[in-house]
Amino acid sequence: MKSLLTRLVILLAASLIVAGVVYVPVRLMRAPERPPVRDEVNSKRIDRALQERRFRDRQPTVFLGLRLIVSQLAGIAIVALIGRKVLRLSLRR
Amino acid sequence: MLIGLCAAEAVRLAGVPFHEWLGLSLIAVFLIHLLLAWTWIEFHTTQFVVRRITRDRTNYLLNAGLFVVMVITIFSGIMISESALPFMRLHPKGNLRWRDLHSLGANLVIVLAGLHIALNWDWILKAVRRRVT
Repeated sequence: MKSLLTRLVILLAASLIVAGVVYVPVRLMRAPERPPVRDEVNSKRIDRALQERRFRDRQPTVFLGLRLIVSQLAGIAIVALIGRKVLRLSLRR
Repeated sequence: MLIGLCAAEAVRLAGVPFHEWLGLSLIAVFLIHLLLAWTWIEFHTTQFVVRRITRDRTNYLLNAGLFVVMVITIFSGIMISESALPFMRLHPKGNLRWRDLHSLGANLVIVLAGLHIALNWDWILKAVRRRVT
């Protein structure tokens, strides 16, 4: 039986490996100097980021908060229901 | 945990600072969840090659996928932090790629969490019944 500390170290090491595997390519993909040209792709990304920020900065209400949580729960529930049906059919022992 | 995850996924619930602090506190919750399931993890990791039961293997791969996606989502979230990390005097240099990765991870977490619940539904029901009765 491994000690709690060993288990935590294993989990941390696994997390660091995953994070490292993601970090290196993202760092390498990053262009050192971006040209200041507002090309079509960049323009779309900037517009999307601005739109996202405007959407996020609107004042939340209790109703909106509940709706957001319920919609997330509903998303998970739908996946769970469909997944259960599919997995039951495909994973019959 | 599920409600916490849903609240964290709903960024507009109480704004970005709440989203970030909740996300960071969920790290501890997930660690406890993994530590509590350690016997299962240990057993199925050693038995992954030996036992060739499709259900167990699927469940194991699904859980491993959920772990990887969760780590990526949390890590990319840390990289684009605007409130929680600057509060701790850390200033990560996130960019749009990290943001995209964070969004993709968050969407994948919903799908994988749903499948995780689907595969462990019987266990969840049993546990709830045991608590209620």
